Amino acid sequence: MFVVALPVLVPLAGLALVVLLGRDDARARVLSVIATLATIAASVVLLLEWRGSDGILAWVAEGPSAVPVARLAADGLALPLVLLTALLGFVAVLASWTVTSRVRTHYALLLALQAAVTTVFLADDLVLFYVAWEAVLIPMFFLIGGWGHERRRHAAMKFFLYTFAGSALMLVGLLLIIFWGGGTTDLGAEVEALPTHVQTAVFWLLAAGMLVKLPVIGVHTWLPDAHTEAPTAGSVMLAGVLLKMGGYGLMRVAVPYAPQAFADAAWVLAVLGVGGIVYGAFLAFGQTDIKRLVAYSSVAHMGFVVLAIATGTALGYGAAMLGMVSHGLVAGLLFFLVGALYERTRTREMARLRGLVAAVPRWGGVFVFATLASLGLPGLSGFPGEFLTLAEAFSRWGGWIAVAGVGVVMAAVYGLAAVRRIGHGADAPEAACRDLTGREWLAAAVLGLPIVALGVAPGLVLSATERAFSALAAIGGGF
Amino acid sequence: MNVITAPAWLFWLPAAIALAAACAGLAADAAGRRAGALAIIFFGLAGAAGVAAYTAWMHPVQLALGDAFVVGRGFAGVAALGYLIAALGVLAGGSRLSRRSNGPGIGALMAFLAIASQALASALDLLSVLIALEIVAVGSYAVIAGARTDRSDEAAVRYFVQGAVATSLAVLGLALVHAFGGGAVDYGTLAVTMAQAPARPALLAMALLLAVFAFKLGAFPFHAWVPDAYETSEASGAAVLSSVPKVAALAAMFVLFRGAVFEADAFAVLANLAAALATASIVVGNLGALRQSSFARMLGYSGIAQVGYALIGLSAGDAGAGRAVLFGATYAVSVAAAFICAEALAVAEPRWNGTVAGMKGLGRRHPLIGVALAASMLSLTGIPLLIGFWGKLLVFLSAVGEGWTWLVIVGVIGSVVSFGYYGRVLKVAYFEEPDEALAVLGDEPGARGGSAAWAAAIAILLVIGGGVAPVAFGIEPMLRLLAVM
Repeated sequence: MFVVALPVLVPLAGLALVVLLGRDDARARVLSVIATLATIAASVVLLLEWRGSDGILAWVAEGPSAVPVARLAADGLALPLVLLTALLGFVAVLASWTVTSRVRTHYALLLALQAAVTTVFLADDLVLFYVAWEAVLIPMFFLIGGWGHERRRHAAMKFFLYTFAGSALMLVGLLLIIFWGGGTTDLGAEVEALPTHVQTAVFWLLAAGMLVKLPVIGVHTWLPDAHTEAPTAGSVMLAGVLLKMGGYGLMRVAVPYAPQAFADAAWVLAVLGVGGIVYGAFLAFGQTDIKRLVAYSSVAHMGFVVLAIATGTALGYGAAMLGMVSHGLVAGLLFFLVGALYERTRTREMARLRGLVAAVPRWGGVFVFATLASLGLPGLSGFPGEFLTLAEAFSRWGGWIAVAGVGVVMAAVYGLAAVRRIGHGADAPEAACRDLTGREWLAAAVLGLPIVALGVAPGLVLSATERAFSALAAIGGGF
Repeated sequence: MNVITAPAWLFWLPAAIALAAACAGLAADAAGRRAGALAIIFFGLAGAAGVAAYTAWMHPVQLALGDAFVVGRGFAGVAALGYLIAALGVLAGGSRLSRRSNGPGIGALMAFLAIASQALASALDLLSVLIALEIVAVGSYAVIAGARTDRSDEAAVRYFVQGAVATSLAVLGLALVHAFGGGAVDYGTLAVTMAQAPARPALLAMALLLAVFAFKLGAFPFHAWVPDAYETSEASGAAVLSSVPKVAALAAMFVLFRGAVFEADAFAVLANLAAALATASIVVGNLGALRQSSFARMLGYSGIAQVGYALIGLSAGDAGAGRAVLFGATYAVSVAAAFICAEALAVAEPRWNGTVAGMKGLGRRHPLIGVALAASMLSLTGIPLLIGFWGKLLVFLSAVGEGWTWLVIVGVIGSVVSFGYYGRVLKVAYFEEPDEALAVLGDEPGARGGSAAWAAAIAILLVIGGGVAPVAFGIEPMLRLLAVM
């Protein structure tokens, strides 16, 4: 089905158009908007086609080679993330409207990034999966280093080195899978179960790449720098979709190919997850830079995703997916808002930002909304994923999951504290700025509506992923 | 057996074209037409590359010329690559070489290097291999010294002295092999006699020959000449020196150590020896490169590490050694592209001091050179969608298959470390603002890099095209051109 390739090919076509025709800044912008809107359309078409299929849609490039690398497949595990990427790609284009330097290159990199990330989610070939995984680094590296804030050079190098170190080890794991699978690079191929000692090596090598990407506590230190120093569009894509590659990779590759090793390692993942929830929340509370605060809150939210995956149940995987989609929307929205604020005030210091709810009510209202979604208010998208995660983890490991509850409480504390610090109080001079424009309203609505929809009806995601995750839980032995 | 044989002229025709072009170029130089001479050499080399590439695509691996040479597929592919890179070296160096009296001579030397490299890669006879190695070495000394600075003279002499030691080792090894073989030097006979030879002297012969190749490749502990040679020769010369002989030597090693002479079980220790050399080269090369401020020296040290990745392939059996040749080819393209960028920058900005720090803002001042530089640096790191990734992937895959997982982990960690210096080039070129003094250079003549910019454009096509094509069309076309088995 060629339609599977569209969410990858449309942004690539847009990239070509922007490079060829985008000499004029305004035209580059318009072309990018068209390309990302077309990508959303292509993703929706893919979703509709998929609903009429038997669970998996596959596409193989016609070529002279008997062993094609370009093989894509869409299933319930990939589709929510493909749609998320399409939405955030559009928001990222809107978020970079005010970029004035090397506009064409900026948009070209964004579209390349979008195509690469989508390929990660759709890849049906181990080599293509790795190619796309690494290809994501190139545009992101240049986006952070070329358009970021004060310490962008340092952040770009750190981002690249950390994630490359992880993914290089992941490559060794993939090579072991290919070798022990008899040379096939087919990602979904039925292969004999790997011997236990190989599984252990494979799992931890893969996990090295994926846990750095998520990131879990201990290897997370690239994240605050990269997220804070990246330009707004870069932060939106980083937090919104790049982190999801880690959770997706665990469920797509690591668990199916090394189920035994995964079962043995589940408690380590759970500890890392709970650690991330608590640690991220406390550090977020301690930040004075609003963008860093959002960045550290990402560490906490990804902790929930790791904990959910560690449960190894179908519902746990579903909770992880819900958490990833929700965090993509919420963190995307928060970074967008913080970026819009920085454009106006040139500061991210919360001490210099006061009284924003009164001064810029539309910005303030959306910010309060996004913060409430982030801290897990029932009725918004953050709640169902975290609730299911804690419920599943409690039934697997019992009472000490209550430690994660500390993180939940802290999330409310740092979220509401941030609202109090910058939303209320006497107006600071910086608060005298323009409120959200029509373009920014549009971006906020694109993310805000799904946040409400998923909060009210988490089944939208869970029903799509149900079949894929039941199969995955069955491989893992089903706890 | 139903074997379709290639006509023998497909083997010698590229070399004949290149040789004729080199001689015609020298004649034109004698007539006082330097630019014309360089153009003749360039087109001759490009034609030779085309013929060799055609052979690689059309004909499988087979023997030719009375079983004295092996041709087809990767062997012709390596030859094609040698001629192509030599052509690009001449094209890139054109602006500067045409202004110097020895310019056409340097161009002809590059052609001779490519011809000797083809012989080195394909010969099935130890004496021919060592003679080809020696011609490559002599040509290399001359290309380095051709830069005509005090430092390049010194580097050439030092390289020559060390090379003389390597040659003596080669002679010693040849003498041993010769003695066991009762005078025979062709691989067919030697394969039999070496398998029957007394174990320890036979191993000594193998170790001596391995050392000679390690010297040519610039592997630890024979690497000392590499950084000096790359730094002091002109960048266009370094583009050829750093790439063409290495691929050819890897192909020769594949045939000698894996295909023919040292294939008996008694020589199984070769794998461990290669693994040790690989590890040491990766560590020494990477640590050395991290400390360099000169762009070419950095490439020199990093070249030592890159040879380490190739040696990982040599330790991983026949298949791995074959993949090492393919890796060598992808490395050759990438490193040649990097030196071509240096040449283009040297032409565009004569005041560039050769350091990485001097590349500030390069991406904005010279977009074309910048893109070529970025592509080559990422390719050398081994990032996908660039040609260097596929070489590393295939070498690592074959090594994992032979149980060398720890060695592959050393390799990937080395790759990560390598981004520390390759990435620094990107950081300086793209993320730092140009110095005021350099920013005003834009309108000077030659500011675009002259013919070197054309070479850089072709290099971009090779590095990115060779990296993207396997994703779109599968890996088979690349194997068809570069697989040696």
